Amino acid sequence: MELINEHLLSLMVFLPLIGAMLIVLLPKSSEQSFKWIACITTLLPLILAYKIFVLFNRDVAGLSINQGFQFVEKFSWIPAFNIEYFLGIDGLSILMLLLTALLCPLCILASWNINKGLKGYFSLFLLLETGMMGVFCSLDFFLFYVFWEVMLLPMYFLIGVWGGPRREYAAIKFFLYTLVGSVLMLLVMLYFYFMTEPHTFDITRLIAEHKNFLGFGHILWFALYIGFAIKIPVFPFHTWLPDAHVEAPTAISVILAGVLLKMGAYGILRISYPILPEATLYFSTFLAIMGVINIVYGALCAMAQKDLKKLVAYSSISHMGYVLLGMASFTEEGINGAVLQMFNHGTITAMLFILVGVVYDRAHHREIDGFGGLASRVPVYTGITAFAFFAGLGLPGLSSFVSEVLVLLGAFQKFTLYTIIAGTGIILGAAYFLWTIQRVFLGKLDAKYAELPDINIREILSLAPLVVIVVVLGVYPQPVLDLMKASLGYLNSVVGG
Amino acid sequence: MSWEDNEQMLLGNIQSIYYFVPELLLSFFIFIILFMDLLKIDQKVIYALAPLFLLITFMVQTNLDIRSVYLFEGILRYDALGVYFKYFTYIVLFVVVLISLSSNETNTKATTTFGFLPAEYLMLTFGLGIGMILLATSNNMLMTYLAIEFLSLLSYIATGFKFKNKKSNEASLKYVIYGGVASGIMIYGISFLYGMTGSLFYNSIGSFLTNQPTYNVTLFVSILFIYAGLGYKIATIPMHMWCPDVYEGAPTPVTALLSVGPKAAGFILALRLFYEVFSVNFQDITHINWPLFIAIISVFTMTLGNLVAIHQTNLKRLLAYSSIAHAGYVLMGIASISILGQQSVLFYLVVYMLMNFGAFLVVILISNRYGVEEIEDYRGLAWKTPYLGFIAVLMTIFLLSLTGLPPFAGFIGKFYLFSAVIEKGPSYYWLALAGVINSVISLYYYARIIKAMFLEEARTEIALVDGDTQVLGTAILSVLAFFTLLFGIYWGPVFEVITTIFASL
Repeated sequence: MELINEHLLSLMVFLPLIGAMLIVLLPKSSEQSFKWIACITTLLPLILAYKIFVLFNRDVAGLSINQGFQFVEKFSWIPAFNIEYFLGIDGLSILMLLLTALLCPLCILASWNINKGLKGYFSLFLLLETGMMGVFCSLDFFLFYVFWEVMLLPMYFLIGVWGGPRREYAAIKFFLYTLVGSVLMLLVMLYFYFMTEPHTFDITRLIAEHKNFLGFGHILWFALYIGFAIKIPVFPFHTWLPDAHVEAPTAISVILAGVLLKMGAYGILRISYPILPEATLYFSTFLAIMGVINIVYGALCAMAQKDLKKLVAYSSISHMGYVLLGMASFTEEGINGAVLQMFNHGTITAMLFILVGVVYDRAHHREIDGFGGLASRVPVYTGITAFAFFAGLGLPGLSSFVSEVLVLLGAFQKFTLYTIIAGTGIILGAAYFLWTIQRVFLGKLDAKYAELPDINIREILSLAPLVVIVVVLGVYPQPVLDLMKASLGYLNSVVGG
Repeated sequence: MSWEDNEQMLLGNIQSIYYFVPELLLSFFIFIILFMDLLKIDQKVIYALAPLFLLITFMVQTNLDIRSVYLFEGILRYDALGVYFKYFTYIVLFVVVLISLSSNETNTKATTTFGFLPAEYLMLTFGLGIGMILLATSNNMLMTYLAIEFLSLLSYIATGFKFKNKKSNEASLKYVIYGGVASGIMIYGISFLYGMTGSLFYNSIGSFLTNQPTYNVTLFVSILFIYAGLGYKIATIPMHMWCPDVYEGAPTPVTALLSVGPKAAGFILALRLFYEVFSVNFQDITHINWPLFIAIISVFTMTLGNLVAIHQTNLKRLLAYSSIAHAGYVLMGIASISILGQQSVLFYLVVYMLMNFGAFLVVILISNRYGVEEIEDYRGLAWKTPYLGFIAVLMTIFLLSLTGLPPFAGFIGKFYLFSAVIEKGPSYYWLALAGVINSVISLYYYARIIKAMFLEEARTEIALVDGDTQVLGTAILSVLAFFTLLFGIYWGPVFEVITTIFASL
């Protein structure tokens, strides 16, 4: 027990990897067990995540000292180059960690129907989970970078092998875009390393010595920004996202939108904000403008889409804009709202993608105009989808309402005009979601879909936890806000002054 | 540094032999192989003995102490760097012999098909090893020139070793012409240097240059010309043109050897020339700013290698251009003129050996089975049989390592190269930027192979030929992949070995 408690984070990171190795080593004849192994090795981190949620001390804050982080594990890895195996979480990362741990088992449920290359699919998926968990736990920049890159590879294969018709193009586009971002990050990382004395990759030390980086501060910030912006994705680096989403299998879309997009924003908050605070302040207006562009541009694009999955993809771009806007505001409400929005968007898009996957499995297409009147044939599915759409457009009482309001409240104090423009995004959001409901579910039922089966138990099971979370956080967001408040408040005071 | 100050460092001919025993042993084994062939001993036996010979040489080398002396009245250097490279050479030869044994182009099966002579092939391989060592330990310009010529001559023959294959012959001829021109230019450059300094010994040239106060156009031309010979060995622009044709035409095990062995020797030579002769304590003493010169060549080399590789359809040609690009990366380490630069080059050579041998071995194993080398033909490879799936996974590891993605060794290698560049400060940042952009470009063509293997439908025209189980080849491949992965996760010990080398200098 003692051992487990001391290495909670390591266990969360590497349990999926152990599952992946197990799947690789088992013979192909035991194919049916792969799903169960994947299921167990994603559920165990979820249990550990609950444990962390309970044990997490809500009052601890601090960035440049180890005591600011909890569940810290620190070992020397490559002493000659001062590279450490350094894990730890604070109020910012715990939320992302919980989100990852929550979404992964649901994705395994959603991939129950995969029948091609099970071995590869599940082992790569588990490897992906290790990468994601690792990114959110790492406090050593080198380790962070390694985990960051480790995610690319499984993602490439998961889209490229198990994806739709244009999967090859989408996969390589995703790979190249993100690699451009990460190699820039590599250079910045090396710069940080050589500018500290003694040389280190330890993020807490880098934060403590942030004055050393003033010389090239703005260039470094911008290089990092490109890396993270590609991941978020921020206009104009967003073009890989719709392609990747449309071609990716359902579960992978869920991970992509639910977790991977958050990594960009997380990176900015974890790396750029505290290590380059001056440059961050300098660029805050720029960040807010990019956020507003994302909100409005994403929403307008979503409105023009004919493909249901593309619509959800563009809505993601729009929703991630709120995160940027909130982050840039440097107000208590804004930053808290931004991180809450990251979490909420993760749960809501996960729902949306699973739901799109459900209808695609049955109708084998995703053309919005190809449906119509489904409500009369599949009432349960219609109900859940309507719920998810309402959550997406920010209906009061559902979780995204809270975060969007917090973001707009915070941003309004700093960027009045931009916030007003951003507000139109909500109207546009309502427009495209409601219009889609109308086109897909209302009207006359096409004879083709007279026999369309309704959503089944497994699919409901993969959606139910998300529905509960969306409702609970919409009514009572306090437990989540408590988790991050201390850390984000500290971050805000350090960077924003 | 020079031996005039320290008589102890300069060993006479007789004394030197003690430190030269491993090389003599290697030469001796060449004769053994020759006689065994004359006595009509079974080729399989000769092949089986070759790794043993290398093992013996390796063991003998471990018994020698490491110190810094000059052998044969100053012709050769015996120091930690040289010993490191000797071990490297024995390992390279060992792997190459095993690779040759598992390739149908060069093992005993090839005798009938290609008119192949295994014993002579092995002699060539051993000879190449000796040439590499001589080049890397040379302390005299004439010796350097002879070593390059020796290495080149053996390379020409090895390239054309498939007597009945037109491509192989053509490649060999091209190689000869290029090599002749390059070494001619080099000896011309050396003659300038000799005229200026009055000496052919590295340390005398070094001390002459230290006292030389200003820019000197003769010196510049001389270094430029000497670089022609060097650049030809490591295949950087503008001396790279032989590389793709030779790599494509030569028997694949020879290609693997040429892409790693002589290249590595060339880099050690570059380290010796540029770090010990043309600079003192990591300060350029030639007044021609050679680090900038090397940096520019580095950028052009890697960019050209990567851009041209994108269009290749033949896997061996693609790997040839990729190896040109990698030479460009390694030059970054040399251009950064620092301890870290030196270390990163040595580390990269190890990593590069692992992943390049791995990639070529996959080409060999697939070509053994199907007789194909085009990327087209690799389509759907991963899904054909579990065995081919395994090969495809290992190939993916090598290719991603070549790209420089973690957690593979190639990433660590590039990480150190970039570190060396960034450490030098703002005036070098452009070089690092060019390096990382090139890494991204390289992903595109490496991923094309991965895409063919995993993402595309299998080609039906190519029937499955079930040959041997290829146990040996697969085993070596697994070992190479294992180390590629291991050094990507835990490379501390390797780097410590390299660090101690420079602590002892």
